[in-house]
Amino acid sequence: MELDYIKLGLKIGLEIHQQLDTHKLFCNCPSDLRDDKPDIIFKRKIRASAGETGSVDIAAVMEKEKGLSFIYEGYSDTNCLVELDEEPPGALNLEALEIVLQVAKMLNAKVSDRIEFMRKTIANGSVTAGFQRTGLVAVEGKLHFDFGDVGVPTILLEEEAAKEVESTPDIVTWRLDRLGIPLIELSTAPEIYTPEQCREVAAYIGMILRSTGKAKRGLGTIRQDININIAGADRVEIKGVQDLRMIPKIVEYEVIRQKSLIDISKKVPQKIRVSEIYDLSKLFIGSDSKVIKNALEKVGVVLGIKLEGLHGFLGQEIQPGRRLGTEVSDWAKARGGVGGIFHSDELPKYGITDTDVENIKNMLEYKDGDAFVIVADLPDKSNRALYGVIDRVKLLPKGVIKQVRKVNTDATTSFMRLMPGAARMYPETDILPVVPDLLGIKLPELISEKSLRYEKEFGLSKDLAQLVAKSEQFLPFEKFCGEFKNIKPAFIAETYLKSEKAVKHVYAVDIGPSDEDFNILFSALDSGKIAKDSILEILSKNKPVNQVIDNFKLMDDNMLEDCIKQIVSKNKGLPFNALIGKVMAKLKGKADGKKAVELLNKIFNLDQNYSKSH
Amino acid sequence: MKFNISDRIKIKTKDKEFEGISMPSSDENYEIIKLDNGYNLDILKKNISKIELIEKSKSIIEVISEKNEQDDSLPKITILHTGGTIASKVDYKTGGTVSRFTPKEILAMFPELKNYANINSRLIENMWSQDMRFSHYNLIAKEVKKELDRGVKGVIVTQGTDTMHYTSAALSFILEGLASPVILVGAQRSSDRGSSDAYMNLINAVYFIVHSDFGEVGICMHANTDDDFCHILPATKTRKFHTSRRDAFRPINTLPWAEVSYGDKHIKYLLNNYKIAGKNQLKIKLIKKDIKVALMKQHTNMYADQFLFYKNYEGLVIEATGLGCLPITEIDESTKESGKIFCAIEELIKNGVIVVEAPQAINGRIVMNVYSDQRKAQQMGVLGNFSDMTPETSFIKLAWLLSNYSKDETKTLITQNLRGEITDRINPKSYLYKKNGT
Repeated sequence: MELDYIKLGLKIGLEIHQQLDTHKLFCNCPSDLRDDKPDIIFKRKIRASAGETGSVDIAAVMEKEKGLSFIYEGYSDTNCLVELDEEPPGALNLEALEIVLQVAKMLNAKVSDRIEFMRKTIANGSVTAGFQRTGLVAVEGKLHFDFGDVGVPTILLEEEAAKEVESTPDIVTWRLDRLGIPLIELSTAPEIYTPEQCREVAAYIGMILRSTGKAKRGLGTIRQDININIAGADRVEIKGVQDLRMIPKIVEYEVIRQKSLIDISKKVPQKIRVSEIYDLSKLFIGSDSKVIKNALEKVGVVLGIKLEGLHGFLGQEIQPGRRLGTEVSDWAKARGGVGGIFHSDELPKYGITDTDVENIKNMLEYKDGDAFVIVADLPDKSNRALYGVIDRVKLLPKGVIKQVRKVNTDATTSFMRLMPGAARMYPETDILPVVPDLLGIKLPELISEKSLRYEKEFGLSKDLAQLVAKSEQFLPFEKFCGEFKNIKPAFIAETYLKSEKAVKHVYAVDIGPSDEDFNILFSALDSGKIAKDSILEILSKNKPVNQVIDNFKLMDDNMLEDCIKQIVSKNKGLPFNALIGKVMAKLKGKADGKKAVELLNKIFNLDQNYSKSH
Repeated sequence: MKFNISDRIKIKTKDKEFEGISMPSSDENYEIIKLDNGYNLDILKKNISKIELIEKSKSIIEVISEKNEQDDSLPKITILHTGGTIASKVDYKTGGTVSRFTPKEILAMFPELKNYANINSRLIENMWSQDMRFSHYNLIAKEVKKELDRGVKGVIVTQGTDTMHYTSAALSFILEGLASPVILVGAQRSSDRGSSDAYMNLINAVYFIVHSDFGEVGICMHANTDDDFCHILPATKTRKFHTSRRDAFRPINTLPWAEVSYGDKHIKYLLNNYKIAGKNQLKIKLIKKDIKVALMKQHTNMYADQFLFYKNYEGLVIEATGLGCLPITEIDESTKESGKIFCAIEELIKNGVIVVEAPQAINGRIVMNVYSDQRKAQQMGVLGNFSDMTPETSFIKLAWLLSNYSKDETKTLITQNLRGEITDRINPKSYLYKKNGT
């Protein structure tokens, strides 16, 4: 589908969270992400409480209704009492602040005269304190692109949340290794207008962050959220966009979804009427439906409601592979913790028969043009699930409401929760406000600039220059180039960055050479003590280089000459090319190939001349 | 430009403009506004060129959404507050926390309470737990008695945790003849947070009072870092063991009385020799507010004048090392000071100071029969032999005894068990008692 994004009034804003490679923000624990077995485990509940404006946060109430308990798992050697919310926060990590100030400067943003940290209420259990500590560092930055300027209204420094490892309807389990890692958050203004622009801006911001040299690497260390709406729709926040390449598709699908919902909003009854909730359990005694059988066995119920005038809407596709029914199901799941719902547009199916459908319709006093939804689970959860359904369908005339969604692997999105209100933040009085030192901030070289410099200064190809500039190894690379002037920088780059892969390919060995290993290698190569060709073999030994390098020392010139003379004299009559073979076999890399051939040539000719004259 | 806190204002600096809600600032160099995104922005006053009033703040009616009718048939419990530790809320006007004490406010924060009891609640007086004095204990005791006289089933006293174990001991002694539950509750994480331990501690205390026949003073705090159950801890044998953990309070030389979990509808008694609730025959025996009693921690390298300082005190509890060994043994040139300390303590006792030992090791019993210098100390008149009271309880008890009995009576009663503060046998499982892992 070719979409006219301008006509649709598409507006996109990006929110990027990047983990920083320092210790944690408010304690001295290392920011180590782990997946080994945790040795700390404990259980907590978090209550909805009032934010600064005196009203209880809506999203927090939704969490409370679910009645969740939280299990926290941690590591006693890298988590401390602060992560367990058993100790007040320590002093602010000033290194993390400095990194954020660098970014602020790169974006020409205005840094706060004094940075005050706030508590942002979060009741879903992802932070043990019940709030996230977050501070506004700078405002009003700007990014420049060919398509126009994109404002960066806020730059924040905040704590990362814990990682969800398991979620059952009643208990969510979180891992504490991630909690407290410093995050820089950049938010752009909604001044991005197409999916491709969105990708470009995200890529550029990612590059700026990596240019500080302190962006943590690995899966999940950067999170991108996309705020997006077309004209007529409220802002939707899409969380958890990992892969830059998926961004254009995600934006496209969300635009399709919003457009579909706006179209639907014009077609549905403008006031949605639903019936009361009916207990349909007795209709399903002996049902073949696995879901319903399971639920009833567990002393559950089958509840249903009638949705007046909504026939055909639930079955409508609003995103590739997702229907309105899927949306409504998301809400039911979020409210009730149920596995899903059944709706009339998709039945009979899943073991629910035509007869079942007739019976349901009778009990619900169904009329043509109506739809219905049923759910099978424990009574309390089923009730809450249907309240979720009611809430969602009542919003159909509104089109697209403010909400938070998560990305699915196929680039569609699912409802996560309502957008929490602004009533969520109050000062974090346990942390003293900080007056930032702006004079000491040094701007790092942008990766893009560094790459160009490598092309110019070291003669690297564009691809190789980018590879080195993006890597963590650019500093040692520059050092090696400065020290070992007899080796071509391109060779240093290739060797330093690509050897592990090459050795794996040629020798099927996994190696992990240290910088010291490379230092010894390049030093020996630089002074002519080893041959270029030996390098991969030396590394393949998978031992510290200084232990094996002597075996690869090149012969000095005299020894080489003697050796070649010997071979020539022992193999009189052999043609020149065959002699090369014999020489190379004998030398086994212990001499530079070119030099050997040159010498052989000299000696061979001498010998020939000698023979001729005798 | 005149404006008030929580008015909407626009601040102009040299090159920027900021709009938001005016917030109180503790530092006079900064103007603070709350931006629409919720963040506070601190702006140096000297950089401000102009402030405009955009909109005056609307008076926001705080809607307490929960219905607050109470069930009169349920047992009556009064919560007496000594400060905002259990029931503080963030105040939107000031950005700081404000304490709430009325029954309506308490029930809005702890709606579960309505299921168990009919709640009355009030502030006695603001007391910072670290600044508490004997007069505060007296005040609390009188207020508790007032409530008990009105016929409540039990009383909860909320207090800052730092000295809660001092207060519990004091109330235990002062409220002689008590046969009702008086439970102290505190919070290690302020109650404006969703993660606060206040909720479990308070609701469990109420649940316990309603469902148990416990009739004495106790402390109700988290048993573990988990939000699973609370302990009801003995008033005279408990101590705060950690500056910040939820499960900071641990019993000493005994087990907790019980585990309580209102969520699991569960009370498990670990000991059953508590006083059974019945008819109160209260005889209030206050602590003289001006009595001078001190608690002193023995350490190495002490000087005689550290002891002589207490010459005119009426009582001195010394946190003595080990089994109760004072630094009074002079054996060579380097320990000459010990000889002086010996004389100093003698002088104290001669001057009428009642000197009592308590264990610096916290756990275990003072046994003064083991070493010869201990026996010398006993001969001198140093008391405390066979006491397994905590230093804090010893201090409170001594002050209370001296307030209500003669010196001679005090010397006898200090090592006699009056309120469960001294056990005649220590349960081997009580040392560092903890049920769960973390």
